[in-house]
Amino acid sequence: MTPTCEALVNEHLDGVYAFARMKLRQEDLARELVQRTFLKAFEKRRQLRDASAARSWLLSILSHEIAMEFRSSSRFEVWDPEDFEVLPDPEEDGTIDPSLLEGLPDALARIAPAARTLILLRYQQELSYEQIASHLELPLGTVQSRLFRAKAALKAALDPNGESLNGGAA
Amino acid sequence: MNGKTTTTPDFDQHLAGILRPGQAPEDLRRSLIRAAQRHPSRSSWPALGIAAAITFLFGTGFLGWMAHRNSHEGERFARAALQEFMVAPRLDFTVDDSAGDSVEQCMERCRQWSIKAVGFSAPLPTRLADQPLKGGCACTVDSARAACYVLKDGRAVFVFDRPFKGLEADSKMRPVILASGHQASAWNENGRGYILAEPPIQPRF
Repeated sequence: MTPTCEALVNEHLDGVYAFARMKLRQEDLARELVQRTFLKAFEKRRQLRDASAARSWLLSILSHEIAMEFRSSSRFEVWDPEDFEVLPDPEEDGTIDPSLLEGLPDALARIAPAARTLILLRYQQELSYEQIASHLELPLGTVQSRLFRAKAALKAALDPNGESLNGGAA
Repeated sequence: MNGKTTTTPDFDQHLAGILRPGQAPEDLRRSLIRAAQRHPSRSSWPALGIAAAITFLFGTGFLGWMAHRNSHEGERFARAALQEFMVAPRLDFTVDDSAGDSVEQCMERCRQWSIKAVGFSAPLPTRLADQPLKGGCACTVDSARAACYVLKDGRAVFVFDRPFKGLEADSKMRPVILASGHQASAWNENGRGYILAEPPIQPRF
């Protein structure tokens, strides 16, 4: 059943805004694009048949709005597979010094946009691998491997010297 | 292993905890809630559509039926009046020839009688005002109260308290003629509806 407009706002505004805020790192732009996203969602609400897919659907609209915004301002952020090819292939999903996690927002800003998007979709929006695959129109295996690489990149950004990573500098 | 390293077995959990969404700005929320309230809920769209369609169909159907009914109101009343006329209504009053009333006096008596009998002033139409009157009665024609004046020549005039719809003011409709030869015509005059019912014309040979 399709949720009401108010239910969309009440249940998903915080998550969608957080995604936009982290991805764009500009509060004003995030607000504007989130507003556009919800207004478009209100208009197209009948397309949404399954309320459980609302978050993913809203993020799709937001992603489109972001792409349009960046395109118009010549700052088009592309989903570039090369972003993942250049990432190191970690030997394992290591552990990290919790104190380093305080620098997470900055570290996120330093990694490739595509990797950042994957991290946010999985750990902020708590989408399943299947939902991410559907959202990004990628094979499930590709999502898993790229997410693994994205996490490795994030850890590397958090701890450039690799001192606290397992398998890093010993 | 490095001494300052604290291994966290669940990096994913830390990540999820730190990235957990906070609250969106309150003014943004209020603005979107207001916009949301301007959108009717999805479930109401089909209901509104169905209601609009039903209203449209019934509305146009009803208006069409009303227009059809009104356009034929004169004819409808003429036919109903003929039914009354053919059963020879019992007269509530008769005119006493011996009284020798003038036309004006006769008109005034009819007016006073009609106000009491049917609730409105029902004068005879101008063109029949000088015709000898036999009597009159109150009757109901197609659910409408009417004063019926029977003339000495056998014709009857039905007077209604309003003009017939679909007939222009002071215009006359084509007479309704039944198979029996009885005929009736309707017209409007001075804000009243009139029907003249006539018996079959007898051949003069």
